Amino acid sequence: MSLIKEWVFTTDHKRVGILYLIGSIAAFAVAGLMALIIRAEQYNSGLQIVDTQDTYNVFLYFHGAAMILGFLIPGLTGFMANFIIPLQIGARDVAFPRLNSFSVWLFWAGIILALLTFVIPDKPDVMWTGYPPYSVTTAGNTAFYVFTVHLIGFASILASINFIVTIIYMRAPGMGWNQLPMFSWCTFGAFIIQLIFVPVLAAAVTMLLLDKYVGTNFFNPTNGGDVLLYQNLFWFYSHPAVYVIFLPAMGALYEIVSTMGKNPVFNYKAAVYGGVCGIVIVAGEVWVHHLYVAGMPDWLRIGQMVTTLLISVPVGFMVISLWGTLYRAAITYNIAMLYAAACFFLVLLGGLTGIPLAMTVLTVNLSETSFVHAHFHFVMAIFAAFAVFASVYFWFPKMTGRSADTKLGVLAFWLNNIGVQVTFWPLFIIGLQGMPRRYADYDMFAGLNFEKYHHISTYGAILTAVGAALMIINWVWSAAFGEKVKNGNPWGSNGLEWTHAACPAGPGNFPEDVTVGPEWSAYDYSKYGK
Amino acid sequence: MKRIYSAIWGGLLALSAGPAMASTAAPARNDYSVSPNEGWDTLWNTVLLDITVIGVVFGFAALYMLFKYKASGPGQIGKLPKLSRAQAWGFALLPAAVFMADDFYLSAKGWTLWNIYRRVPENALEVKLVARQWQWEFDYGQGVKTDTLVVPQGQPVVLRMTAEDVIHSYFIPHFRVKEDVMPGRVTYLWFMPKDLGTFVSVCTEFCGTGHSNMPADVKVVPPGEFQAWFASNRQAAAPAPAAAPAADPAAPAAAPAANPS
Repeated sequence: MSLIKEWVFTTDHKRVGILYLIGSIAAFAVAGLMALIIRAEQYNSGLQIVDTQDTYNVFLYFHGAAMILGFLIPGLTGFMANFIIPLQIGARDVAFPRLNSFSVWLFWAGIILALLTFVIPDKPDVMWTGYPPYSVTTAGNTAFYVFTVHLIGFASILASINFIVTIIYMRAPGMGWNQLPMFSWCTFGAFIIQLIFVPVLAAAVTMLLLDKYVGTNFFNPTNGGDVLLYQNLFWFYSHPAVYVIFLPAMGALYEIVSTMGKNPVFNYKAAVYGGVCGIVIVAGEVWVHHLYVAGMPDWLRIGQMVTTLLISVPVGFMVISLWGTLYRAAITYNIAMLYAAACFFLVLLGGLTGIPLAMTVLTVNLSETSFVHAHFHFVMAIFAAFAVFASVYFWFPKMTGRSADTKLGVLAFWLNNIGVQVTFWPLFIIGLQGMPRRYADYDMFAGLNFEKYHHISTYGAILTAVGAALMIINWVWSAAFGEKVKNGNPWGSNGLEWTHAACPAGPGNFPEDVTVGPEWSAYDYSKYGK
Repeated sequence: MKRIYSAIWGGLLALSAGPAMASTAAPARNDYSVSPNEGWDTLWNTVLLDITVIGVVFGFAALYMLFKYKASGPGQIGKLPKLSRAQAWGFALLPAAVFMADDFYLSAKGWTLWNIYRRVPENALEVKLVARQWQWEFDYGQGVKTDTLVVPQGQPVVLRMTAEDVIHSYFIPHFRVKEDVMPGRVTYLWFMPKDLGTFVSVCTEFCGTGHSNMPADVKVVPPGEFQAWFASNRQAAAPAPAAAPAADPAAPAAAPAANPS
């Protein structure tokens, strides 16, 4: 009983982080199950697995909403930011611990509300985007969608304030901005983006709620509203949200690649001031690429094609820096490093397929096809999910004081890694030939023989599902019964969380206050092995 | 207002991408030697080559380093050389310049084809498209309304589209065109039906229960056959005699302007 009380009322950032992890993995598991059903349904044309198209639409809605709002954003900015940042910057906790605890329970309320989708009548079926007028006229319960966004949105805004203040004011004495570890820098950027843009999403879905239940006409053209207003507001947040996911994922990769390769981060300042700051600056000027076929003015579509393509510049700074960190490294592979290695190829695959999609005129053919579906799964969903998985393995000893099972972990890694490639490559191919997204039934394309590609894709999804299940079993089992780590710094890192805190880190994080000198760097391995 | 914005964007583009722009100047207003779908395929191949080269270079670099630089024993540390100030700037600015040049090159190419996509030829056959859950209705004027898009081979076709209920999106994969169809707005797309045959068109904006069940055939027929088809449909629509005289003057007036750009 006291244990439950301890966790429910905890203000310790590490426990809050683990609560985020449990909630987001729950969302991941249920939404992953939905993905499996969706793939099984698409295995053949026509309806076989689900009873009606409407059920299929509910599963699509849940998969998208729960994966993005319930798994990726809370996994990266909830779990990882909470667990890692205070330890990494030498702070004893976040700036506002009670606010932090409030955020995580708001997030949990959001997850529970999302899960209620399956028991309420009139299940929401508005996709994770909730476009009106459909979301207003549908019989589905759009309010559940809106309130889920509200709860998780508030959690995000509070977390943003909390971590921005923490990083600015609570760094260990002596730690300058140019010594700030990469994960903290990247996540700092992500929280700035969140603080600016989440309120816009909250406003958009609130207008949706008013339109549906109160009778306002923000999005109703027959009474002077505009259907595109919502899409602009929605993507004004939701494109930057991609960077809220991308940046912490990149940050974690820097930590893992640098530590396991015993190499400093290559061209750190370019990655920080060009990459992180550049992404924060361009994040808000590219949303129209989600509306390339939505009848926006031509000058806007062309202008934002240029800004969208220019994202490659700040991302390029980070990519060059990440690749450079491998140069003449001394890599020791563990499960975290395997996931990190896979991320190199995922970010290439997902990033480069974004280039045709950045081009307005090519998107005229590609938008809303499986090509887009495969693109954003690689660059946002799988890349970021692999970064989360890598981080769980990497910081596992710090969380639990135990190490995860290597054999099971490696087996699950290969199932996941091969599974996602097998799942999404066929979707690129049929997407180019016109296979639309969000279809349960594709009889009209009978002549193009899409079924065999859907077969391959479904087999890939099964591999991934087995891999993900084994991975979660591994975490749960190892957290309880895994081998205890004897060494407080198993990976030989020079980060403060490894050199100054125990495994697992106790209350208050550090036995004594941490200060760092001007020469200190988290990526200085000169003392390693001596 | 529109012109001012175009000028600003154009100016920015021209300033920063002068050389790339020079080789891909916007086409003359009535140059339709390239049909949208052919232009699309050419541009796609260019972009595919571009991203494949980048992908192969970076992919092999990563693969090579991930295998080559494995630690040979415990205690070994990486030997990344320390960058001088000039090298640090070089490794930042050189890739940035290369990426930016590629961006502007692709922007210029994309803009050129975009102009073709958005400027409707003057001799285009105009058809109105009304979308509703879950069907398409093609309105040729003079009372001819069908659920199949029949078009004459070799004449450009422009669709002026609107929706009655929720947002749909009209997509003809074969002609590489798609545009959302929304209540309260009229959008358009045009294509050049060069090949005879029957092609599929579908809805690609989620619109509810029947979203994946609203295909429509696009039939490209020889011009003579199209005239015959149109005449027989008009006769079928004609029986109400009052409709016939009203159709001729009213239909063109109600039609949106032929060339909004």
